[in-house]
Amino acid sequence: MRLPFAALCAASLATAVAARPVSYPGGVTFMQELDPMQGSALLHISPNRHYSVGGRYLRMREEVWQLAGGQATWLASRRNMPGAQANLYLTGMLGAAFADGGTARPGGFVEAQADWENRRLMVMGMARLTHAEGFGTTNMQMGRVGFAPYEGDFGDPHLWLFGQLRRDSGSMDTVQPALVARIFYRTLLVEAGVTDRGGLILNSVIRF
Amino acid sequence: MRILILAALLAAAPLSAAPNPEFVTVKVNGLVCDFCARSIEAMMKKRSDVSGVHVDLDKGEVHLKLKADATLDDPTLTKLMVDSGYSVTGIERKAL
Repeated sequence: MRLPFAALCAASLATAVAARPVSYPGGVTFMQELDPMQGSALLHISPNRHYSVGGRYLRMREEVWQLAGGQATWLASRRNMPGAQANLYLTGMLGAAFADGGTARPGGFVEAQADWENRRLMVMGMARLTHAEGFGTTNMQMGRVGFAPYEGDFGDPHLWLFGQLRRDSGSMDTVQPALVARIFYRTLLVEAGVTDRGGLILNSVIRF
Repeated sequence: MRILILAALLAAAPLSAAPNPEFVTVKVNGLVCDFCARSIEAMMKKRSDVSGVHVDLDKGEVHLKLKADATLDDPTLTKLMVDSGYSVTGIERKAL
């Protein structure tokens, strides 16, 4: 009970698709995210079950600057329970920040993410602190609560429906609600959603 | 007659010594998501002695069909499951 509560607390802070940012040993994953605030692409490999390393490109769509560099994610904790699983991930990214045609400067972010799920319910949350020389410091929090309308078997297409809240200091500190649908089949996961202002959310994950 | 008996024994020996294929049920905790459980499939496909993998999300079980010459012992199997992201609570083996 403590873990779901902790995950719920984390969720109240916090968005990103983030379906298992650490995979099995040798597993390669491509993750793409697009929302009104930013777009990003991440390709990572997990040398072992504890962490993943890769490269990320992130574009801040409102502030019109970009961040490209290396990222490492550590699976700080995993709790396997009968019929449920909880995870805590810590991520750091370091690279170059630049505006279109501008000079590259150091930049990066640190992030914490927690989730808890069983076959029908999922709670997840994350918080990220981003800094780039010349562009300043922003913080973002996101949380999601979701449910699966049906329990699919192994090999079936699976559907999840989420309610999401996101707050970003780079977007005038407003809290932006959204509804997101997640569909996955085998090793392909796609998310589509819409914010309360009609903004598009489109995320995908492919595990090779 | 003795030659016939000897020939029969020699012919039968390889068959009786060859182990049967095995069906293994691994009970695991944390098995809730099909997308994530694909890691089990990927890990098992790396092994030449596993001929089939099935995941039962309802029961929290992984079913493996091993080839007759399989060398996949319980400690190795447990490590593969842990590397896949799950905790093993029991392993049952049954000859096919």
